[in-house]
Amino acid sequence: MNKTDIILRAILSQDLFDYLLADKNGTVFQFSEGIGKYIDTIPRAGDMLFEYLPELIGYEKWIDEALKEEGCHHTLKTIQKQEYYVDLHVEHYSSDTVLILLRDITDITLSKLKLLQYSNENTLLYNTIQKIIDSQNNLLLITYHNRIEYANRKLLDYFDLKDIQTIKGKAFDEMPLASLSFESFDDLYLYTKDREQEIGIGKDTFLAKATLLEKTHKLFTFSNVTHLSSLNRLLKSNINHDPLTGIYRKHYSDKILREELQKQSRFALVMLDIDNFKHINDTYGHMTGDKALKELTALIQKELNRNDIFARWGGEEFLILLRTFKKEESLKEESLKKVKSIRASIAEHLFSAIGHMTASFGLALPRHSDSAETLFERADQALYLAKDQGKNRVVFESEADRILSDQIS
Amino acid sequence: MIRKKILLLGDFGVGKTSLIRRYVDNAFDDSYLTTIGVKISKKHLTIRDTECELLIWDVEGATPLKQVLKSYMLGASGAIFVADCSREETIAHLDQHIERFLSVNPSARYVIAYNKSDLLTEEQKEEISCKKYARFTSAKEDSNVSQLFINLTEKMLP
Repeated sequence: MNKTDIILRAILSQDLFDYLLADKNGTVFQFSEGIGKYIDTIPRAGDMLFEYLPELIGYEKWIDEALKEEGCHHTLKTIQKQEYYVDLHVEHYSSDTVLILLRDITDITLSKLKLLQYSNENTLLYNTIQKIIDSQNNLLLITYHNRIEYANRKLLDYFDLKDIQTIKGKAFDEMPLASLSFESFDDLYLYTKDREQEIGIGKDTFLAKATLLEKTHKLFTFSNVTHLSSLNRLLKSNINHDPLTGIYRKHYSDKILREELQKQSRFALVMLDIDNFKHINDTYGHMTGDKALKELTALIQKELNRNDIFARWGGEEFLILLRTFKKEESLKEESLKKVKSIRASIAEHLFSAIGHMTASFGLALPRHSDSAETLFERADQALYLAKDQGKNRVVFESEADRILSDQIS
Repeated sequence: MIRKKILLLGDFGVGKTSLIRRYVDNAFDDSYLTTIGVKISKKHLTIRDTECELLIWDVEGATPLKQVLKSYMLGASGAIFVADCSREETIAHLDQHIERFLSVNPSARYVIAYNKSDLLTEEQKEEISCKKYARFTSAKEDSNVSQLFINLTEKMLP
């Protein structure tokens, strides 16, 4: 008995291996009793090796090498044969015989299979959850020690970061978030823990919200609302501004007027009406009339301060809230001076297509007992008198009172 | 008769075993059972009057931590690379699988299956830019499965 036989018998006695011996033509001439469980026929001497083990088709080179070289050994791992798993060993037996060992690894493979099944199912689940997380808002998870623990793909992409390792373990001031007016993640947490807060990062606007996780981690969500913000601003602008002239609409100036009255601010209310505008429309057409309105509003805006409110009241009537004054005692004088200047600049201006155009003005100052309506009424009376007295002039409210008293008496 | 060894390769869970089961046994099971190691099935078919026996190797799917053993690929004449068209990453990994296989068998032929096409609408399928030699398949609905194997066999024949 040679050395191989001794080893072979030893391992076969442990029932760990079955074997086939085949000649160089691939004819099986000897096999162990247990080989039958791996194939679907009863093995017989003289059968072909590849009929039992088609797995070895394509591995003819291994068999040639095993025949030629003593000690040659090749293994094909984890092959399913019927309900068993085997490792196939192709070994040198003699120069004209190849030894095929089938090592039964069914038990350990089935254990591995359970683990692999569990692992693969979890990987699939993890990948799905990861996709869900990455598709959500920008997420940032912060540890108890105020260090970055996790950021989802959306947030990493926003800050142009390759992966989480780039920022993991970093503090607030090491993130691009440092441009915010907060000093730490704790500050940001306090600001956003109760409700979503609008914050700006770079040129973008985000709604930020903090949530405490497991009392140790803070989860920040950042929803990019830049587009909505600008849309909101555009909508607000469209609501508050007159589409033809670009100045405010009446409802906006009304709102400001009521606020100023409530605050008892120092301001003056001016109502103005373009003289004979119906004639301009009738003579030159509404297109030319519209152009004149635009030209007039641009002219008046040049005369006004940024803080003043200029609104289209409707048609050819306008309203101005003068809110910028130099001295406490000169409210009336300053207002009159400003309005007279506006009147003069309109009267002197040469409007395209129509030439000269004038406007009449009524001016009123708020009193303590005033409501918006009473103030409007006085300014409107003053404007009426400006028109009545020949147009192209400015009438102050007390002057209107006097004239009206004279007319009544 | 011509005998050819082919492999089905791709990420785990893309439906390699289901494609083989559909083609060889005309059966389908919705539950996911991981393949470990390799299992061989045989299928006879006749292409252009030539009888062929396909030795179809159902190989354990690749995972992020474990690639398919190159020893399984020895002597293969062809391969079907399988991706799950509902999981983008499995499509993205196709090139790696192809490269690995061709490094062992440079002259082998291959086709590609974007499997589980029953999960996508026609519009969603149109959004996927298919690779060369690729087709949508569904083992569940028996869509394009036979054509996949026949197409590969035609390519392998002289």
